[in-house]
Amino acid sequence: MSEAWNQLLYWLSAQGDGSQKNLSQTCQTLGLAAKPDQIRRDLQLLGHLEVQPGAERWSITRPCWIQTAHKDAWFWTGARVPHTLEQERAQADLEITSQQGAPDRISRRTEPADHVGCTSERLLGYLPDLAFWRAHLVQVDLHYPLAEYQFERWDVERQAFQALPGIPPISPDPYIADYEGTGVYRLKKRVIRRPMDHYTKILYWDGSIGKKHWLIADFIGLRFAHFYDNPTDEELRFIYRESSAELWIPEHQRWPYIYERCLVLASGYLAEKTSLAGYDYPLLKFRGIPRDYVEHFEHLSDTLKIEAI
Amino acid sequence: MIPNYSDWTLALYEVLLKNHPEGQAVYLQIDTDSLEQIAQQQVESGNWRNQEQTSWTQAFLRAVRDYLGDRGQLNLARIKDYYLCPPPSQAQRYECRQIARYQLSHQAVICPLSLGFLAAQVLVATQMRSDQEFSSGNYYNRFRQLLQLDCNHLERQGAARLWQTFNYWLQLRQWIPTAHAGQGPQRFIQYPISQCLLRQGDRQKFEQVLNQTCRTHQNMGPQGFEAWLSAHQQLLSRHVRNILSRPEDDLQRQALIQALYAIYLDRSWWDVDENLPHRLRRLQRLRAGLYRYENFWTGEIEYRPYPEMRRLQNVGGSLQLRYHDQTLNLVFDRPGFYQPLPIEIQNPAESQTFALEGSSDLQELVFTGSNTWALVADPLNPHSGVYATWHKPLPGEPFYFLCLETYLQKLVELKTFNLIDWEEKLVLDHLSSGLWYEFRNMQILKTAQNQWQRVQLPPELSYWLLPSQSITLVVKGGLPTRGSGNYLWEFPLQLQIVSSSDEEYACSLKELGQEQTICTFSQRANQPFALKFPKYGCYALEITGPGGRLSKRFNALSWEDLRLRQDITQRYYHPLDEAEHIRMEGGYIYHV
Repeated sequence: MSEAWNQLLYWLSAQGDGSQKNLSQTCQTLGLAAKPDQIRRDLQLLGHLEVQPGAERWSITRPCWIQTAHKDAWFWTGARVPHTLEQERAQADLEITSQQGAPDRISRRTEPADHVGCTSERLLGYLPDLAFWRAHLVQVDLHYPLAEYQFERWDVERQAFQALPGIPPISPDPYIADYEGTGVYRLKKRVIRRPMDHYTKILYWDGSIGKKHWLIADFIGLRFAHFYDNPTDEELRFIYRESSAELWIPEHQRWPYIYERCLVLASGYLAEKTSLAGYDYPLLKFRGIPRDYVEHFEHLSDTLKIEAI
Repeated sequence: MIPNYSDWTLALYEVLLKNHPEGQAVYLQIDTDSLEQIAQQQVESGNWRNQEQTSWTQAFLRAVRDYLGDRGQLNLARIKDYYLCPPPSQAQRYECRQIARYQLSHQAVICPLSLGFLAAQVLVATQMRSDQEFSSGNYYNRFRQLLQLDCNHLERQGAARLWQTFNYWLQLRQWIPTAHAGQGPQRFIQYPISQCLLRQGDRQKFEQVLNQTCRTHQNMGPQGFEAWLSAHQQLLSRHVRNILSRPEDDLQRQALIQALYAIYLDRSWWDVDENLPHRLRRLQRLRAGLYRYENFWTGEIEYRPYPEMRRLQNVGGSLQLRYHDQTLNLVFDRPGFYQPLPIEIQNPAESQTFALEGSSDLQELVFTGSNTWALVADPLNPHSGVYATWHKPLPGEPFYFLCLETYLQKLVELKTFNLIDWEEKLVLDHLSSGLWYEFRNMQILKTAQNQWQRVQLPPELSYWLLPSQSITLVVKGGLPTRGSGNYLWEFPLQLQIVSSSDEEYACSLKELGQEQTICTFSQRANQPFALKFPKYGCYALEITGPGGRLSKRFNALSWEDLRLRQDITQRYYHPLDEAEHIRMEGGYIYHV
């Protein structure tokens, strides 16, 4: 199966750009079982792809060597085909490590003649604190009255969308807080008449007094926003073990995309789904995270708690 | 520099083939006007020196004679297009396939040296008088007059081999060759004659007819022009009438219509003054089709003008367009097309003209409005979700159809007769001049003319929907990669022969350049079937049956053949600040 992931990257590199639809079709042809949205996000996290806002179109990124956060190796990200891999092999000894649900990680211990330095370290410097990130989520207006949509609401307990029989319990009055209505929703238009009606929207209703608007982002980001806005529901936390430079995040509290990308680009490895003694929910393990990164993450928000083990 | 044979060959390649869209038929339609135009472009770009006293056609013929003449006799031995021919030995066949694969994967340009001579042969055909029969004697007399060389039987055979080699080279480059041998005495001369769409006399006659009948019909779109042509066909020369009324060679018919449309669009017929050199009389215009742009964030649809390059256009240098107070650059998109303009078309039925700057030849770009538009999926990247007017839809090919409400009833009627079908019909109420509808995944289901005759169609619909071919092959599945007909070899294709009745067709698969057939099988039309290539290589699938004959080429690539795409025009990025001055793209973080 690892070869199919490599082939996907080769295909994307030769294709150059395309739509989410043709990415999905290719994943299917190659027998990749993961959800296309997940595949696209993982490739983005690894720096192989960038997407248009709305994520319906993608383009492959330029190939480059990135230094790891521990400064002990360089890994390759971006476009890759067998031909370029052969060219790189002629330059240096390459370490090829397969990883679950992604193309092989290609790395080298010797410094390449051309590399972009430690991207994760630079990105760390640009990461906004969570309050700023939250304040800058994009607000959108619905094109039609609420009654013209079918609503599903994200159930935090069950970790799934649940169909609502009618419209959500939200109030248009800006001075009444919608504790009941606040949450992540999936909206589908009941009757399709115009091209835009086709799009299933995942939106977050912020029902705080004086706010009252719909916000748009990827689902994982909106789910995180919900936890961030409602710390009484569940505390946001992460776990760090300095001796092994490993960092864990509860899977259901997965960080918004750009924060997770910083973690992934620290090592070139995607998060690994795992369990940890004392935690009764699945966790995502990131490797190769130095102590100074963690100190930076601690300052992202007062509501984000670290547990050192 | 005074151009020699090689210079002419390269110049011909640049204007005839370099920017010819992939997957389309190639006609070497060369006449004196074309040669003058090609030479002027070379002079303007500083490559060649101007010749005040001599005609460029004479200079071209002299260059051919100097290179291939041997004491008054044609001698083709100097043209060594060996590496492009299917060579005889097993080792050479292997080498040939390697070259083909190299060309495909590296997009390498290896121009056949024969191109100059083949163009000279076509020039001879176009120089024959419009009342002259295309007989072997007439042709070689004219050949001797123009080139001052004799062509014996051996060299005639050699010339035929060069045409075959050229056809093979075109196939490798994903173009459709059109030159073919004739019967009996016309065996050899049919190659150049088949390339000659318009002789000088044919063109003059056509311009006269335009001048007399068409002055009030400016900026007709291709749909309107075809209707006009059909109404005035009897006034045109016999050669043109013959091609137009020959449904069995649809490629040639379509190419001729395109050539006539280009003449119409240039409006050189407006003032027919025989004393002026042709290029001075000509107001050269580019035409724009329609490109569909979908904003996936909001779901909004925009239609934009999609400029097409014209035949014999030298695309070197920069070309700008005036739009209100702005100057917009025309940016190369792919052979045959510039990138869509960042101008939203509010009313697709309304024609618009834009002034061009930066070229002495090209003065205007015209978007010819129409009440109906069919947009097909990107032929280089079929599942990319991008639709534009790259070509007319073929039977069985899904496309988007945009039209005014007026045509709704007729379309429903066609659907009732099971001639077309669509998945979805949506309203585009942001467009002006009436209510516009967009039909998604429309398909032409039937090809038989008698079935279509049951419905009286207006030209705006018949242009797009009335099938001109009796059979087509629909290709689905597999793993397509960028480029026309490119697939990863190990993934089977899902094919379907679309025809008016479910009859049996004989299919044979051949590797290009190989004599032997890999496999033959019988296949019923309108039923899907799978095709798996035995290994990587260039293949042709030949289909023959009651509805006619067609051939489809495939490049079956291995993973090792894939190359990084370099010409990505739209690279996305993740902004790291509000103003989007700091951007992240893969491993790169940069400031703009």
